[in-house]
Amino acid sequence: MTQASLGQSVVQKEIQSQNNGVAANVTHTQPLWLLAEVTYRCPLHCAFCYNPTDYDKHTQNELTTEQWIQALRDARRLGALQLGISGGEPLLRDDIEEIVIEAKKLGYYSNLITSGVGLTEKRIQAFKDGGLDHIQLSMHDITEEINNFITNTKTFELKKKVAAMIKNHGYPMVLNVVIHRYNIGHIGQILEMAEALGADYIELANTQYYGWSLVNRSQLMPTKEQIDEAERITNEFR
Amino acid sequence: MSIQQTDIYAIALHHRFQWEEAQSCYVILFPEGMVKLNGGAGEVLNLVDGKRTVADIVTELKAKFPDAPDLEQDIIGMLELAIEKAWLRQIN
Repeated sequence: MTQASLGQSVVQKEIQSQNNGVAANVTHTQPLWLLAEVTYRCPLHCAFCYNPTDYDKHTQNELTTEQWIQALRDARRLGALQLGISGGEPLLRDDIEEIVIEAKKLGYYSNLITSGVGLTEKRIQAFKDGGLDHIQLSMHDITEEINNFITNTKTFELKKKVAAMIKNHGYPMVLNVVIHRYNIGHIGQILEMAEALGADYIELANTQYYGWSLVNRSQLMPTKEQIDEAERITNEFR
Repeated sequence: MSIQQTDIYAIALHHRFQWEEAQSCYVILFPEGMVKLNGGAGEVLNLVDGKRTVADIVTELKAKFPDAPDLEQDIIGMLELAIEKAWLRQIN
């Protein structure tokens, strides 16, 4: 940098990219985010899941720990900075601790994306020691009934306990709520719940209509009116 | 808010500031996002370490870039922006 450019460039306060890591003004494309879907396996069976409908056929073909670590290194060299460790439920693998340590070594800002099922005190402590930066927990709705209906599991109370565990370990907590016709009418209460659980961020995610959710699309897709109303309530809450 | 010469700042909790070789710039990383900093902004935040005062930062950058006009105002402006964006926390 030249001496003259410092003053000028600070004044411009130029920020090249924000918005979830999506670069706004880049002239060449480097990947910034690596989303590692380390497994399709999952203890939940959500109607809105993007997993392929034949995902059980693929469980024998998961990448090994070494292959994932190589993928992390390769992506890092290409410029990726943010790492999402996702699935399926990533905690069904027992090598996430190793992957977290490697991610830290490589300079990733790493994020565990989990349903909370399988997150024990022992594992969360190992992740903390290994340098995991934050945890994104999925929540589905404000009531046990709808949570259990949409996920086909009894996981509502467990998720609340896991939320408290994440906070206790000093992690920033992102709650992710996939939105569909069954919960879109509760947006206001979902936001209140997130606040009560101490969430630092909340992501209201559109259902990604692949795999299972594509099969169930006619049941899941909200109406335009429901979306407009949910947006209004969300903006008011902001 | 007004920034005082004696103020000491550090990078905010849950945020990480680092040099990125692949992008040739400093970045700030945080949950679900990142910011790429241009050269000047990166130079300023690189000195925000929880120990240096604002006056120290100004002195160091003036020594490094003696010909840059209005440097102090620019540095304060950058710090104000970083505080507004919650990238920094005040230590003292």
